[in-house]
Amino acid sequence: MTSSSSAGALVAAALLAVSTPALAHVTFETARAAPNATYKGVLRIPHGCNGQPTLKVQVRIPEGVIDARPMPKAGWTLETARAPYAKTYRQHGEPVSEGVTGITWSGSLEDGHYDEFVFQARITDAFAAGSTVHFPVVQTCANGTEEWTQIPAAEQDPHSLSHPAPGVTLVAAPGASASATAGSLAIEQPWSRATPPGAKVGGGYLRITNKGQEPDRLVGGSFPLAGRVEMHEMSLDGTVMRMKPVQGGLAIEPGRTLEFKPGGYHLMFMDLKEPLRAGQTHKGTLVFEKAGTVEVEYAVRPMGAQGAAEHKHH
Amino acid sequence: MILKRSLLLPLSVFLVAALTLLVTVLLLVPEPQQNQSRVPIGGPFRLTSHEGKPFTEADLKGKPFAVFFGFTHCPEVCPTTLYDLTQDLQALGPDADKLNVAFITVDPARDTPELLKSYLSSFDPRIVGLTGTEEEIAAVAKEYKVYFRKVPTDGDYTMDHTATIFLMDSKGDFYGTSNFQESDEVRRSKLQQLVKNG
Ligand SMILES: [Cu+2]
Repeated sequence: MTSSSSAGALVAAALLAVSTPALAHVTFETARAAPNATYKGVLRIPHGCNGQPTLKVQVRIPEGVIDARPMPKAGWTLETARAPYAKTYRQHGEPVSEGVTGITWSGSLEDGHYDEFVFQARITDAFAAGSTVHFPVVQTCANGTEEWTQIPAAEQDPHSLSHPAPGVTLVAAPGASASATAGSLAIEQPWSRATPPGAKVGGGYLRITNKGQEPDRLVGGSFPLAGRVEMHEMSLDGTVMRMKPVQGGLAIEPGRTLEFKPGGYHLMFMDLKEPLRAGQTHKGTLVFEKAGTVEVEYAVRPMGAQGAAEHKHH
Repeated sequence: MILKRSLLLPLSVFLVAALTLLVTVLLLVPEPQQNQSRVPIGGPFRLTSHEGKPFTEADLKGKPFAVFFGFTHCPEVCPTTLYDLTQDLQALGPDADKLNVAFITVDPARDTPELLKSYLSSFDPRIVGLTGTEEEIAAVAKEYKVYFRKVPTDGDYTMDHTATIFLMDSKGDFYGTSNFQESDEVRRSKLQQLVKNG
């Protein structure tokens, strides 16, 4: 992390921290994640530094977090720093020993404005459930910086820090807590279809019903044998089969059911590492804006399957 | 028991055959076959098979054939159609050998002969996979009036494409169409018709 703060700016920052303690911190929109899963981090930048616009937002990806992928942002240039990891991790059965360790967005954000910076990364099992992963963030302005880099020591209350690094607490999802994590969302019959050897993609299907009072939004997911999971919409336009990625996730209004099924929406498992075989089950995750990361178990159905249960279409 | 069974079997075979005939007549007759004047679908092409060998329309002609365009980075329609055609060939029994079936990729950049070969190992071995250069694929798609287009995704792409199964006669002329949305019964009776009359 480069921090080009002069002694004067440091003093100014210190004064600022003391004089205006009410200023909001840089935080993640979703501060909970499933252990050993892909996490979508939405960094919220609530203000500039000392009244000045923010020109740069830098995030450091901590050791133990791999496969970081920033989301490009209109009007901002994006840079990533790659470096070897201290340890070797495994992703989809393959060793991973280097990757993105820093992300920098450069542009301009007025002090009075608010913006969000998004990236995705896999939090490995180097972090146990219950622990918090910290992502130090530095905001750079024309004159000085805001450094959200303080990491609380064990037993230390993060609220006692003036500039805490935004953190994500890992919450184990399986079993009884799965429904707790899912909140008021009921997820039914996740299934996938066996794939031919060499196939790089697969489809995921399920139903999500919002039984609560608040809308939520499905924004992503993960699948153990896939490089990544996208949401696609399929449609038949005359005789032409069309498939397009869904932008910005899918909203689930209270009382409504979002259905992923053949011929409509599907979760697309991209970069499959090996074929899916009928009879297997695979644990993946779904990531919701409010409910956070929820574990789901996909049953792999035979290649001719058109639904979660046995029946032929038409 | 034995006597009953020996009577029941021919009776049920007869009933199934009669029902199949009725369904076939009901489903096929209202669709006018356009055999009188040649429909400008299909034609000569030059491609490469999943065995890595040159393959042209001459390798399909001589028997009626079914052609389907798709790609292997396809989560649904392509494997499902190949699966359906595999089931159809089994259901056709010995008649299946009087038919050629080809799967032509619209994504030659990713669908190499090697990939097609391993992909097709899940399906009936009589289905031939065809790829080629971008130009060769564009040319055969044009012959069959097949639309295809790349659609970008996050740093990758997928394809929109015509999902019709083209049924061609033994001279390589257009005979009819089917698609993945038709029921097994309709598609199979069309294939049976094709074997008989194509
Ligand atoms: Cu898709």
